[in-house]
Amino acid sequence: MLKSPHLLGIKDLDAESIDLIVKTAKEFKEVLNRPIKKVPSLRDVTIANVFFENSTRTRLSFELAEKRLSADTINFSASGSSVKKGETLLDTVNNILAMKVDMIVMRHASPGAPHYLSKHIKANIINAGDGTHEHPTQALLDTFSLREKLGDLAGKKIAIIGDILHSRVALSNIYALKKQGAQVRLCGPSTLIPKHIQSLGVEVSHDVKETLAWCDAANVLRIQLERQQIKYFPSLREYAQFFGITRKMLDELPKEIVLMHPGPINRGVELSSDAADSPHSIILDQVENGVAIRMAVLYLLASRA
Amino acid sequence: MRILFKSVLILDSTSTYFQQKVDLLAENGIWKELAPSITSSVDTQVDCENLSWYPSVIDLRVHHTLPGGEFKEDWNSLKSAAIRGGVLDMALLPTGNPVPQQAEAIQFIANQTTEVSFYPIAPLTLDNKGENFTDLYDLHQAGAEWFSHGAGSLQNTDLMVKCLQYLQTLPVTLVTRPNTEGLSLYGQIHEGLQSTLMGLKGIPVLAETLSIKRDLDLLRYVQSNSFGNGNKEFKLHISCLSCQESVDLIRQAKKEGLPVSADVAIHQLIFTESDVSDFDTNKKVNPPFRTQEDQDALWKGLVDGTIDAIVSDHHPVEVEMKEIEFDQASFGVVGLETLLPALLQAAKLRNIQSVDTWIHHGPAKLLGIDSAQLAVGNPSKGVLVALKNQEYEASQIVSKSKNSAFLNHTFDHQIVGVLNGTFYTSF
Repeated sequence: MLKSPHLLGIKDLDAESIDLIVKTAKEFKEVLNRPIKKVPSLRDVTIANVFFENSTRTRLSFELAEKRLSADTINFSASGSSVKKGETLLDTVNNILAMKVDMIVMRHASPGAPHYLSKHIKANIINAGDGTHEHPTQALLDTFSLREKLGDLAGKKIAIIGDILHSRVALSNIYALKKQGAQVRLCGPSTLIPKHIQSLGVEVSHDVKETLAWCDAANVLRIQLERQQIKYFPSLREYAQFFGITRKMLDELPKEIVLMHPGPINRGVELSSDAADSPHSIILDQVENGVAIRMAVLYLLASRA
Repeated sequence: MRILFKSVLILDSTSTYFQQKVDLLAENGIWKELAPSITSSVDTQVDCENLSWYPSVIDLRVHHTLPGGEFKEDWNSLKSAAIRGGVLDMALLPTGNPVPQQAEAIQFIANQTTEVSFYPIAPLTLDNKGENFTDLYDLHQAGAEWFSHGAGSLQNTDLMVKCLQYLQTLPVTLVTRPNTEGLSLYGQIHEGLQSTLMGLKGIPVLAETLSIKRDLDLLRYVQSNSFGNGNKEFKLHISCLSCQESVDLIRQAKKEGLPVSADVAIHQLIFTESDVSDFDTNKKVNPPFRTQEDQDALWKGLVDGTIDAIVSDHHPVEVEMKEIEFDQASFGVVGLETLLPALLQAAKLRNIQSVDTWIHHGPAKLLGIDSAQLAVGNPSKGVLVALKNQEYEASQIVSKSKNSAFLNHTFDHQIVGVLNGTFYTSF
């Protein structure tokens, strides 16, 4: 059983809970491959998907996971901060909860927004991404996908390449991978690496070729231009030239590596199309596993009640 | 009006009765007699068997919400909060909207003095925009002894050097809260491990130290070009130090003989970056809470005299701007009511015997006011404190705004009485 009623981040999740979620996801993945993909586990549970930031795949993935578990779902989308709208986040969520909602799946541009909510409301909260902080279900589905390819992650070399500074995927993945004993190396322009990140026990490199040669798997992140309030590097052109990954680079490696991307891909920037579509890539497996992981998280949190 | 305090432990380190129990007799706002035992007919007698006597707090840094921010704090709530915290004198930053920037506005603020004395800090530039000077001499003539760029630092170097040049001929203080805006832009908390873990943009130490270095260099430049006409009482006051390097810079500047002084906000002496790990917006302050090493350096700076004063940096913020997402929330905490209890508790943990230099005698000297020593013939002022554990709750806050960093904190010192002249309030 999960220890917390919420999934706010990987930081507070122990290795045992990660194992439990992945194990449960594996079972749900089998369900998803059956002719009848639906199970009645969350019948009579109402889940609100509250997205204060644009999302396509995460929202669809959660919604599908909820439907596969027979939950009742409602969707709320609003872009921009709650302050700008004139209604506070707490008011918005309390309005939704007044309609007797049991769980909230929330994406928000502000780091800590789900943590703030968890102090004020009783429903289970699942963080579907909070600004540049955490994206726990992404890290869990990445772990699931990596384990399918590499087995136990202890001692495995995983590179996270790209805009680390603005990435919630990076931070959640670092936590998840370190808890599983993996070696983690971050790679990107020096302005996009948080200054104190090495305290988390990761290595830092600014050489993509060398990092690709080092790793067993590379998780490539997109440049988060929408989260960069100020300039961090000269141009996308230059970024693609010095930090972009091409099929040629992958083919020249002495060993086969696993290529991942949380999507959406900026084709031609961090990944060339021929790299993204190469046999190295497990990008679409990640998407499939995302549904199973989210089913597992929803199921495990609901079964605590 | 005669008031007698019986058997009170004197913890004003400048008193001849320091750490002794005595009786204090005040008559019509003046100390009439101080002796081991006084028997006299009085209007009010306060039994102080387990109580201690401290000098009142002189607070050099309070964010003024008036005009324009009456919903955060008004004159009545400001005075009540100050008295609740034993703060009987305070300097008010020019942070109202519109900015009080005419001679009449400065006089108006000073004229609000009743139970609490107000010292208006005048703005250096019109509307705190950093573009055009206010009438600096005129504002000084109207009573302003301190000048600032709102609650921050003037970013335009040329304008800053001219402000220093212009004001150095007067017996005034230019106060700045060091910050390099280009480096702290969008920052939320201290740039360190915690900001990385929380996904929040950090405010680097460099934003503060670069600003101090700049202003000290400008001061050196101005001093060396003053034709020998600089006013001896002119001072640059660096407010709200938050890190070790800043303390070192001030220490060095003082050693060099530069006319500088400095203060630190009480909350910096108690909290560190790890205290914001739960996204508590009531601990979102600027400058942000930094590391344990920084905090230790700030205490060291106080003890060796580098830092002259401890301030509340009282900054009322309405609940609507605190009960929201962390990166959307306003900076600032209220602090008038908790400065003294928080300081006494923190000092005890560090085995520091006396704190009154930093909250009374030091700031009195900087403000150029009578430090009201506990002696016969001087104005009767002071604070009675009891040793008692009590959890601090929002309902106890007198200020209109409840954004205290100390909510749910248990204080071990409680203010139980405040005397200002003939005016005595017990709690």
